[in-house]
Amino acid sequence: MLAGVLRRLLRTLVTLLVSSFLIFAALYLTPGSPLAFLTHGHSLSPEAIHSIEAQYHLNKPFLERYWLWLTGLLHGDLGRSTITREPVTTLLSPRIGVTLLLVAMGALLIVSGGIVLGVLAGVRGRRTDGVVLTVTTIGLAIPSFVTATILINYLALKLGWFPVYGAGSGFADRVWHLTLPAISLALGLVAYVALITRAAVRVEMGSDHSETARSRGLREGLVIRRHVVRNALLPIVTVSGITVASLVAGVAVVEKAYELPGIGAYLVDSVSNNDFPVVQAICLILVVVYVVVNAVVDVTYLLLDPRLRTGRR
Amino acid sequence: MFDQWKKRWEMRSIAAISALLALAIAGCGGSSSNSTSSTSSTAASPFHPAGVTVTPTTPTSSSTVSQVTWDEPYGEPASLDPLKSYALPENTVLSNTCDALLRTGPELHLQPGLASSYTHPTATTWVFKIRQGVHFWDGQPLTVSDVVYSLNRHLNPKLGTFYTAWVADIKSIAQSGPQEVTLTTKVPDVMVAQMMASGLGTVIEKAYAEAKGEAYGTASGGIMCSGPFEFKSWQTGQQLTLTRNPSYWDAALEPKVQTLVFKFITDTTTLTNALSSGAIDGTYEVPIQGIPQLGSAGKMYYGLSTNQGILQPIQKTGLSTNVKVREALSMVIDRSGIAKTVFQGLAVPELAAVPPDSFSYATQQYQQWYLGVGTPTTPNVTAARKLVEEAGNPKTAMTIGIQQGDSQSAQVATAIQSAAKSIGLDMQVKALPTAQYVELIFNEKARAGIDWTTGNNNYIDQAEPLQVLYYWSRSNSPYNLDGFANSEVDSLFAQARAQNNPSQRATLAIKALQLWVKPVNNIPLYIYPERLFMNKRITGAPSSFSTFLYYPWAAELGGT
Repeated sequence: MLAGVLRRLLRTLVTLLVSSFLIFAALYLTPGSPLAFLTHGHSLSPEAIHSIEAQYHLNKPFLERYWLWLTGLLHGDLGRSTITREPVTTLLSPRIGVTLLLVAMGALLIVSGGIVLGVLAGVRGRRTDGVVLTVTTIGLAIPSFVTATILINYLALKLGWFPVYGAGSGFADRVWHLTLPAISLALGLVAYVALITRAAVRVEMGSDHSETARSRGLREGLVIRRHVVRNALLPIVTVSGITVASLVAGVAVVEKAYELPGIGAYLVDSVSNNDFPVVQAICLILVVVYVVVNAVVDVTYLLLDPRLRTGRR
Repeated sequence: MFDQWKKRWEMRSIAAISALLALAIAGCGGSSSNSTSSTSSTAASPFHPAGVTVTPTTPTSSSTVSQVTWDEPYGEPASLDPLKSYALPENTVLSNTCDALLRTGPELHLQPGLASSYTHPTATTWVFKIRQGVHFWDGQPLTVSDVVYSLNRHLNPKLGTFYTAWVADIKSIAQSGPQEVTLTTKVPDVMVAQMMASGLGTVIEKAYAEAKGEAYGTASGGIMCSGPFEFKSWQTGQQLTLTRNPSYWDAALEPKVQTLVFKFITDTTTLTNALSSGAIDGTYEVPIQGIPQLGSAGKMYYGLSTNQGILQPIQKTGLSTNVKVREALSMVIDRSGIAKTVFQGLAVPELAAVPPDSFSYATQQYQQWYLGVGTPTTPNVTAARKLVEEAGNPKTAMTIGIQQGDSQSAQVATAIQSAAKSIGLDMQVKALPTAQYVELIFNEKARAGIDWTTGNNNYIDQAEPLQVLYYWSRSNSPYNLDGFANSEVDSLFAQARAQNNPSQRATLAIKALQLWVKPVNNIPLYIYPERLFMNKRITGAPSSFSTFLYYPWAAELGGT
């Protein structure tokens, strides 16, 4: 078990190192220099250009720049934004809070909504199934920025129940501000999780052990709880895990639509401004989150399925 | 000295009225207007759109307000250091926090600022009398040494000012008396005074700036100035908060807003929603598509603007340098159509690449020239085809570079593309990422494969047509990208910038401008008045373009 955990940890570290190199290399190859945006297109004196280049190591060879960045990273130094000249850590910490809460609220909606709808459709069949299937298919088909536009127009502008933009301040206010964004973020993915759940439940409903349980005279409710849902959980957890991990990367669209100061929207802005240190840091954070969520899913497997715990890996 | 401006302004008014009369006689002035104001007109005119009243000021506010939330539609400032503020987001904030020696008033003429007056004793010297009794927010007195320090920072090449083009001609800035600063230029230049209303003439506290070093003007380093609004906090990505300076030196501009919050919403839809729901109280540069939705939430105001839309050639070689091709293209672009559809009637065709709201002196002279350049407002395909034929029916493709996400310029570029097609020219449109688009101006490599560019950053800072020559026609200007070089234009320009007499200066400027527009350089496209929105709660902000950059406009803001 310990060896397995260590191996997994090592694999994670290698993944991070490789992705950090890829991120750095990709940005190195991006056309355009951060200097351009920095000066809004005004020309600078050669001395000033030289000092900026020295400050951001723009004049050093590629591998040396990567090495400087990597060693800084190990000291918790993500560099300075070329646009605002502030440390990247200072810039990111308030934004990470917004994105995390948004993702958490979205994940809660996706997992609870998706599983409830999916189980309902899988177990009830017929009419419920038809309704859930139709609604979720529509949900899947609507992109999140469209949902955002519709929600803002009706719930925020017409009815005035929710704010039009921004993230608010203080916890309650923030949750209120993030409700519509979380719904926009979740809608399509609720549908996705619901469809997978429905399929998994369907398979388990007709499985041998469920049939056996029924033939032994167990009540349907008990069969569903003990035999159907429990066994169906494995694919559901996998899909929920991947979905939540992809939320973090996909959050940019919703953050942009609601003008939220989160890391997704910041990534988009920083990419268009060639603010390399910020882009590198956010990409790295996204990779870390993805890897961590996957690790959590792996561990959940072990807890859910005793067969995976003993011997087999 | 300020009397001179006043007189100049009166002259402008008289000139404008006579121009209006002349137009009415010529039959293109629409209904006869007996308005005595030079800048207010709802009739169709070649300078402002029909149905739009251009008023440099808005109804005066009478009450105080605890908070006003304002938007920056071009995004968050990168810095509040005057050295690095030479763009709309930065100057919109800086104009309220940090005083400059002079101000650009609502009608685009210069006003005294930290300098109570100035003289121009010799062709190359400017003497500014510095106001006494001004204090920074921390209570320290503003001294001549702060002024000399602030202005000289621009001359230090290591600090990297964005005003490089302007400081190139400044020789020295030094104290010359107890309350007096003398600026010496290398060549005679009347534009220097106007630049003292910009970041170039902005004064910061020396002790504070030296203590902060590199961090001065950043979100964490903050700033220390004497303006009507104090810097309170700046959460990057979220908002920038200013509070009222209770002891502002200018009694006429006592701020009525307790807290002024800047937001950085750039998305048209979100901004429109925020304005119509009242989440944001007001903004300059209101996105045109959103105006119909703002309806009952508040009021739109239209001000003077030295902004313009041009099609700028940016290559020294290739088809875009062919004079006949340029002329044909300029002839066939549907300027009226662009103004009507892309700008929904809130723009008018530009007839020469010099924004006419910049004609702040010798107005009649300039206007007469402008109207006589002869740029057509609707396509003249036959004549243009003939020119293309004379050019040998070239088949090479040309490319217009626009900024990604700038849907307005995308529409304009598409209109130009179809105009080019109608005379057999192959024009491509390429959307460039922001960073690369900005880089077009000073990096020749970034310009590779792009022949033309159009966008919304071709404004001139002040109401001085000479600035057009300064930026685009001078053979050694960093903004002159197509290599236009005409020694006669250069010499006329040098004479004009040395000329203190407005009418004589205009005569020289017009000669130079005529030589510059004749072979068609920057192709004029459209001009539009500044668009300002304030919701029902607030009023007072001046509505002109340079004014919100170089005048403490928020000090006029208050309750309705």
